[in-house]
Amino acid sequence: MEILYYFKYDDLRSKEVKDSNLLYCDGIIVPIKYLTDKEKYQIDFELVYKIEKKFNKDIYLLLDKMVLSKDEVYLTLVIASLMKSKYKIIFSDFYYLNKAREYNCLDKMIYFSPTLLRSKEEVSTLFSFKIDNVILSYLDEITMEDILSSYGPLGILGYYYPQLFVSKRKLSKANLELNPSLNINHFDFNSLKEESREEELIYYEDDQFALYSSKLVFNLPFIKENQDKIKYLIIDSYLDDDKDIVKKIKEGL
Amino acid sequence: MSKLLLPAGNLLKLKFAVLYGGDEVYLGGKNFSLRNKADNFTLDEIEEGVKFAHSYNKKVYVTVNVVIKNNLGNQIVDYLRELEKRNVDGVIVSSLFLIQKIKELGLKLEVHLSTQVSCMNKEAMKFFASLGVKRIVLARECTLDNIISLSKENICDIEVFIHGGMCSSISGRCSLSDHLCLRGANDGLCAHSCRWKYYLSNDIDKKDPFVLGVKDLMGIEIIDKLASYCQSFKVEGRMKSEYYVAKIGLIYSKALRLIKENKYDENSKKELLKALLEIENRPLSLGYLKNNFTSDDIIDLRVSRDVNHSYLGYIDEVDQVSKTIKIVRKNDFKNNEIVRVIPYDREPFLIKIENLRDEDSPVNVASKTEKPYYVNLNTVLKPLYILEKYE
Repeated sequence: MEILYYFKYDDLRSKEVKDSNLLYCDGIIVPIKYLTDKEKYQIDFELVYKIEKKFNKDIYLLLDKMVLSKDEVYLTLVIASLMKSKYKIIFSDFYYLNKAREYNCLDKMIYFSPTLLRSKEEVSTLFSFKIDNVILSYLDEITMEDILSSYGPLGILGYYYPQLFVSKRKLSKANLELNPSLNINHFDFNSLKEESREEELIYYEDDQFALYSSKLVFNLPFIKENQDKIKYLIIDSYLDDDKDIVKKIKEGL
Repeated sequence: MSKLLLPAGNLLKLKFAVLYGGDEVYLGGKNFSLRNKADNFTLDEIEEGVKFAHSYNKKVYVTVNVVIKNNLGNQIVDYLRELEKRNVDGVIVSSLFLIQKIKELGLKLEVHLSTQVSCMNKEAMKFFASLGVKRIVLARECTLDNIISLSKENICDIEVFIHGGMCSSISGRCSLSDHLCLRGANDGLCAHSCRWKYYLSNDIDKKDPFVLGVKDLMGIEIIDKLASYCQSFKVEGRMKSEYYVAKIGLIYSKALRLIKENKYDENSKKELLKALLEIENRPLSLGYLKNNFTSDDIIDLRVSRDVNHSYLGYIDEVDQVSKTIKIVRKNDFKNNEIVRVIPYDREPFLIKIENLRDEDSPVNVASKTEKPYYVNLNTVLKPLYILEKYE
């Protein structure tokens, strides 16, 4: 089992490490600029080699944004570099699957959808397309265990705040236009509450609007019990700042 | 020429959709579609609906677009076989597993890719076309320009939402309703949580709502720009009434007819727009079909809207012997009231309600929901004609 951790921030020019999770993980997932839902910490593809050089870990490019025609225009400029790079690619849009066929690099592709990959049937179909690596959607543990037992080892989200909603519409900007008195932090996390509920829902908006639950999903005993069936354990601390979480999880296993 | 695809929430609505302008209808079975709260169809009802639609040379597509849960695949495949037996023309699916199975088993069902997959680029279209998908329902995030450019690629047939409710999130990527009230959108149980009221956490007095919901789509103003590029225009609304389906069907089919005859000018647009605004209860916008997204596209929760009570009922039966018509009542109407008849095969006209009675005795007002009422037949009327308030 490899523990993969999302790159959030670090000073790539300095030897000092600001986020020690990057030292303890087995691989680093890098959200690629313009092509990821994790816009707050997106990185230029050209800088990825610096992350690799500094941390000497396996690199996984995160291309989880759904591809609009306008993104396709941008992608025509970079797709060859992405597909020909030595890095594995985590993707959500079938745009990439078709391109991977064209570049004959299906073996480096890892499918991930937070919502659409919920059954053995879908996993086996992806395998039939020669996508050998997948990350399962948000699932209850019984279902996850069932799929892992049949088709594992597979990737799972081990520590995450579920993405609840992702919109191409710039809702924050539109709300502000409608009501300029709203106190919104631009290019930072903001939090919302549904009128009758206490839970904070966290959103971030740059090119699109993404809303997350503030409730952490993390079940160490489940991970421990199933670790031989897990290929990638994803630690997604997009919304928190625990710099020791990977170390703690490794110690707990 | 583009087809008009209308929603059918139940068998009655299917008949209205077929009669009032739909070239094609889509419906869901009791399971595996994304509108579990609609009445939906048993297999026998699907068979009856298909026979009815085919008798008018119209097509029927069945939505089987839930995200497949573990171990349900074979059950759904059995269901697809049943649909094939009942001569359904095609299925709207989102599952790769189902797309593969239909191909593998050689089922005679057209495969349409559901908007739940959020297909909005040509590479994804090529991928699905390579699996045998005949038609792709494009994501509702596609702009007018996107749609035209994707259509020009000639990869497969394109279906575009032209009217009705919109998802604010990318379809298929939303778990808000599941998270807040355990009603998963991908299980067909969406509670429309994006239309609820939210506040920024720093708005302690809850003065200014933060809006996640977007207005419904209304594409009548630009349908002419798209007509040469889309094989099908879809109207959302399996939960809406038969009246809504019929009126929307009449309006959009008229628009398509005028476009075909090269007569869709500004005046006809205005006339059809006015007609649409008269029946809609929800706020509307052009959404991405105007090529961008603005604050005008989100719902202003501070504005309230009136509910439309124009729909009085529909004619259920015509008895030529006793010269009586039976009306299924939806809103109040009175004896001696002048009402407008909306037929599906001729221009609207007025009639006077005469000798109004319920099953037992004469009444002055038809006021009981869904109850049958009877009036005298004084002119040529047919079952499924609509009665509307005349003001």
